[in-house]
Amino acid sequence: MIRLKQVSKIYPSGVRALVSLNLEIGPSEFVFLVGPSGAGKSTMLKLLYRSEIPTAGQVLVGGVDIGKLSIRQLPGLRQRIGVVFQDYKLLPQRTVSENVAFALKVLGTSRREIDRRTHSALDLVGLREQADLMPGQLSGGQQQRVCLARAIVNTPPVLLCDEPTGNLDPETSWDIMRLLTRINQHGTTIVVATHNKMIVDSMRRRVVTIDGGRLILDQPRGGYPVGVG
Amino acid sequence: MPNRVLTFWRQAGFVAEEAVASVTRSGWMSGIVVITMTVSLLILGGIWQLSDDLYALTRAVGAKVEIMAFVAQDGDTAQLASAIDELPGVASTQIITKDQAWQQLQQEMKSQVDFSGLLQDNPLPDTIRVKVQDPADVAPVADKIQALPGVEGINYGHDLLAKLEQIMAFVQMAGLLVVGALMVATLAVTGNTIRLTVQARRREIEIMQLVGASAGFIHWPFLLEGMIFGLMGTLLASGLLVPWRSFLLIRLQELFPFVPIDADGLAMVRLLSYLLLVGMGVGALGSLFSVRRHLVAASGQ
Repeated sequence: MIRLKQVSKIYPSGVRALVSLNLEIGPSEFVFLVGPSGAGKSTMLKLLYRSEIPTAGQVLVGGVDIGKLSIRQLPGLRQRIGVVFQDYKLLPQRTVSENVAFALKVLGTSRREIDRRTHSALDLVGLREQADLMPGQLSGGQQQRVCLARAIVNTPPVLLCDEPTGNLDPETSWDIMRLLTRINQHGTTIVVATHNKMIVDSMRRRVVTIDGGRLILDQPRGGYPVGVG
Repeated sequence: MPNRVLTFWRQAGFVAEEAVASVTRSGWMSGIVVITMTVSLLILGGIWQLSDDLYALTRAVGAKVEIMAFVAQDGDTAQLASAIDELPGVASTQIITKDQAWQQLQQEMKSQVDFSGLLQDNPLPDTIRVKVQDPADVAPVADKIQALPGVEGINYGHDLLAKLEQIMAFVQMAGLLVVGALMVATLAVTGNTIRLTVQARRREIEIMQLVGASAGFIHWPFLLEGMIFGLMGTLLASGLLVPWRSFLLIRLQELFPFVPIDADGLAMVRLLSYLLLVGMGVGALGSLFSVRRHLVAASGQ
């Protein structure tokens, strides 16, 4: 599903975020991406939804070299990848259901289809009751669930999460993880970049460790590696 | 491809919704853009009308200007008149024989001078009164008449015309400069204000890009927003221009009762549609610059 071949990323500032990184992630996999701050986790996710272009190497998603996509082809890729952020990135002036529906409206989906999918996405994340509230009226965990609903409302085959529990308490973090597990069970490939040791240790999923822009450990059913911040 | 057509219409509906929502949401900023637009369009329209009116005035005055061609003593008046008639740009000729002129002069001066016995001979020449088709042609036509054999001299409102033409040229030149400067300023203000709304909607643009909206699609709400500003500015400017115009026309008519200033409704419609075009164009262009700059900055490429 996802394949990185000899990927390097050097920012214009000279920072070497990734160095000759190789990684393969199969369909329906659930992968934790761990490592200290500045290790290159976020850069790797950005390369996957092409917010950044690799300086060298290839990034393949669904067999397509996305570094070669033209600006015109970019929307097609983005529609097949859902992204969840630590800071939620919700639109504060729109209701919960409008935030979720936004992703579909932009694509010209019919109103009936928008309603149907928005409802089921909100059902899945357990926010049906809050559909007409504004994001500001919700707790952090609820806002993250709205962000999650928006990311999956278009049923993308790949879901990328950048520190999804970074701002949440342990209890709420577990809610989010349970949700991600359920989404993964529907066949969605999930990559979660995180610092959350407790969660990584208890989930027993594949753990990929990056440090200094290099892949240093890849465990099929791992825990949070010792000595990594 | 009915599906693609449907998708297109739904997206168009979404764009329209977003544009209108954005105009109402960024209340005071929208207000500033609309006021700037209004003032600029008002000045543009005012200068336009002024130059239009001056042109009409010149034409009207020019139409009153006739060329008087004086026939030499040995000239053949009738032949000369037909020769002048043949000249391009000449509308009509009228012969005033020296006898008619003499009588007319006596008539006019009757109360002041007693002509009887004052002069034995009529000193006046035959005169041909020439009207031209286009007032702008008065000078060249006059030159041609002067060059004809048998013409002793000519006389026409040369100075008046020259002065009017100078004023016209000045107004057009100054108008062009002022309008040009104004358009640049309006473009800058509109662009900057829309950039503020673009900034305020950075997150929306980012999310649109994330969920796979095309760059063209992201532009549209902002373009439409700019056009709405232009439309509102034009409406406001028209609301001020039309009554002012009627008032001005009445005053002008009082000032120059001899000049037929046509209160041409069509000219007004034409002016307003030009203003609308300029207003919406400037609005759209202003937002295009702002969004493009932002999109390029945000895409990191």
